[in-house]
Amino acid sequence: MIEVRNLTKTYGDTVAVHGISFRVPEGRILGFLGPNGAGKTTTMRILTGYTPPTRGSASVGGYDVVRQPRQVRRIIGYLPENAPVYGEMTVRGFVGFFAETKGLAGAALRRAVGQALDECGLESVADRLLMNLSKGFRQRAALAQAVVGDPKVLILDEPTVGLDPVQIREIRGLIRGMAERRTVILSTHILPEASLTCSRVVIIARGRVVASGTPENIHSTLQESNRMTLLVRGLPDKVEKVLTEVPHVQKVRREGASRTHEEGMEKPFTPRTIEEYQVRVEKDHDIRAELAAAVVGAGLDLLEMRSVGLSLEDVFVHTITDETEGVRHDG
Amino acid sequence: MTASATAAAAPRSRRPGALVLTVFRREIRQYFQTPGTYVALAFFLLLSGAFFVLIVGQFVEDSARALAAATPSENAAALNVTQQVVTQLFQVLNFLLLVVAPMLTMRLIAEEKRSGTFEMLVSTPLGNWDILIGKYLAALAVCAALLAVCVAYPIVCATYSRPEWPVVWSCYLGLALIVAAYAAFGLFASALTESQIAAAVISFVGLLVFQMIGYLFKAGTLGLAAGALSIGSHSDNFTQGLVSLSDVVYFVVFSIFFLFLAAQILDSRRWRA
Repeated sequence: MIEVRNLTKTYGDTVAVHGISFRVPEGRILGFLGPNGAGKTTTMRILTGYTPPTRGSASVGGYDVVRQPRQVRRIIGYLPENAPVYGEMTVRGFVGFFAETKGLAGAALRRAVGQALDECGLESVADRLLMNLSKGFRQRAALAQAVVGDPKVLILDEPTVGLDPVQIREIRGLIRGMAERRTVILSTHILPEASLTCSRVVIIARGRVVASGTPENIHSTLQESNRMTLLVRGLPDKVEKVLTEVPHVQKVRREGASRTHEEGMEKPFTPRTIEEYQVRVEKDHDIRAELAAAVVGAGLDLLEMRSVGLSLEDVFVHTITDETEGVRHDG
Repeated sequence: MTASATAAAAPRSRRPGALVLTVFRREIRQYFQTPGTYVALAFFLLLSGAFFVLIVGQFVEDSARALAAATPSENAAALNVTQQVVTQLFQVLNFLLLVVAPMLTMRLIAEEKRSGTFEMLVSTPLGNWDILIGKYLAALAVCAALLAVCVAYPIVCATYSRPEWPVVWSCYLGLALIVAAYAAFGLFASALTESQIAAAVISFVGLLVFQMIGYLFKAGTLGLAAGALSIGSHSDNFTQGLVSLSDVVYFVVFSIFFLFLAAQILDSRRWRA
């Protein structure tokens, strides 16, 4: 539905987008993830035909964004960054105006507006002026503007920026609901947004794609190790030695302050000391059983063990850091 | 999905001009909801009314003096309500419109650019010309309303004297053409910037230059060219009851030219690096 091939956009000497390519099949939500200034908005503006690419091509619904901008604009709904609205209009008037620009009139227009207001939960404020509404409602009105007339493709630039957590959750719900019948591309610099809302994620940094795939996929391909957290009772030095000797363990680190008894932190380590240990394990090795056996075999008490995968956030920071500062793996 | 299948499903506009009308209606509504509109209207009506009173007062005084004079024929001009009132009023209204038109047009595009709605607007199926013409016609409609209110002045004159109606109408035609040119220039200025104030200043100064250019350069080829480009030299004839084709063409071309420039500016994001 959306196809971007080798897209490059330069502003003078500044390269905003550098040869990025991706596809969004029909009915999917693509999360376009990257830090601020990575080229997300530029890419979206190219997709809406607002600005042309310097090189490369992009098509939406089979239409080339440069050669057939009008056809593209007929099948997309666009929510620009910061969700601008006409403050002097009522919500209904605002959505109605955009329905008209999409060629709707009369009963069809009223039905489309009603549907969009309903879909975005705006009926209760439909006849109020936008400037008197909260940021959350204005954001929804801007979203309703994009959705009205049932476009096949939704392009949403930072749809949840500036909202409170409750509003964010609501907007995410709305977007997921909308994607049932549409193809959606949304940009964000917030990771949970991508992993919660999107079926596919493209991570870009400095105008280049650094990773793409399903959130789980990106996760596992970029992850070089697994992490285990163990809670063990025993002398820390001994615990660390025992854990390090288990095969495939890369690194052991004692976590945080001592958690002995209520007496306090100053108490010296004893065999009764309880500590948390982070164990980094080589990728694709499940050594939970070996770790447990080693700890128990050394006469220590294993109180807890859990596996902590790298969060998408870790991956994100990791890939971005790699991209901007050269390859750097700590540990 | 193939391109042709999507093409068939894409909604089409009903008829040409429907989108212009959509933009026009929104802008008219916006005019009524913007405080600036009322400020501009109040400014225009108050000042034009005040000037009308002054002009008429002066005329009455001059007439009284002329009647009292020994040889009234020498002061025949002073008794001519058309020249003493209608023509003067034309000059005043012309100048007031020069101030008011930028106030009415400054918001049109600059504010949309500043708030970000412009990006929303141009990613709808609206074309640049739909947007421009819709906004331009809305500005013209407000200006036309102003001019319509000004019909009161000649009517008041007509109650107490006999103005030459053809001159009155040619003055009106002149003002209508002038305001069309002002609005086109104002729209162009508004497309240049994101700041309403900058747009207003650009259009006021720009229009002032176009007004004065004919008076600034008088000699030689430069004077000829300046006269041909000047709004001032093309509006004088209307006050004499003369409607010349060249004047009408000048204002029409002036308006189209600046609308065209505005369209180029809107389009420039597509080719500017």
